[in-house]
Amino acid sequence: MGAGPPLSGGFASGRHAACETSAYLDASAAVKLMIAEQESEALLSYLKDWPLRISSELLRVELSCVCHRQGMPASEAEELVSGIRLLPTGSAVLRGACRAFSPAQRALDALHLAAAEQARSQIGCFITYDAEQIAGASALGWRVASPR
Amino acid sequence: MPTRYRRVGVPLDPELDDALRGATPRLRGASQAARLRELALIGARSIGAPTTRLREASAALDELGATPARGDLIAASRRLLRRHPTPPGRESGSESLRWARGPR
Repeated sequence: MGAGPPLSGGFASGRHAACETSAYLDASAAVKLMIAEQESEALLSYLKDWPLRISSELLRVELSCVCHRQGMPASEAEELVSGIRLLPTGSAVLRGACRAFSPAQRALDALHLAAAEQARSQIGCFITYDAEQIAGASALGWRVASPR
Repeated sequence: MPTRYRRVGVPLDPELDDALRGATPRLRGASQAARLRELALIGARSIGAPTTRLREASAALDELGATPARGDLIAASRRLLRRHPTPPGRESGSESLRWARGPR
């Protein structure tokens, strides 16, 4: 073994360390945890490394709409989001979403990004399968994942 | 070195000897015993670290007003995926989401 930097005690402290536990899921990812798709297993496996899962309250609305469209009870969406910490869509998030993230960003995408930005220091990874959201989150410097 | 604390005897077996030699360039301790103590503390803190991080992140999310998680996401998802496979020819969840969000 070569002489590397001094060992620091095995763990970093503060905000950087906290974010290594948490991943933000947008609806394009969460929907794959509710109705089986090709990427579902890969996503489940990936999430094991992120014990704290975060999203916005918007997720409950979006997944409920999917349930209605699919003829499923909305309680199915509720069962899934019960395992996710949902950030409130308060005035700070709404104001944040007015920021021009990218020209192709839709309102819901902007709201998800704004919610994640609000908890930025706690989130280590942004999980999405939406091409525009991948671009938007990457542009903001997020570590983006789309496990396949 | 004199100490008022109780000593712990650790046999310097080949495995421990190798580990100590390998880590020595990155440790500050001047003596082998000091380096062994340093390594033990690093190891103990590393084991406890994930819990500490999780607690810090949870507390910060509480401050932001995030809802508490009331269940295990992985277990919930496994139950849901068993109930809702996507049969061929039927609209997928992602397609329903695209419908719900409207065209770009």
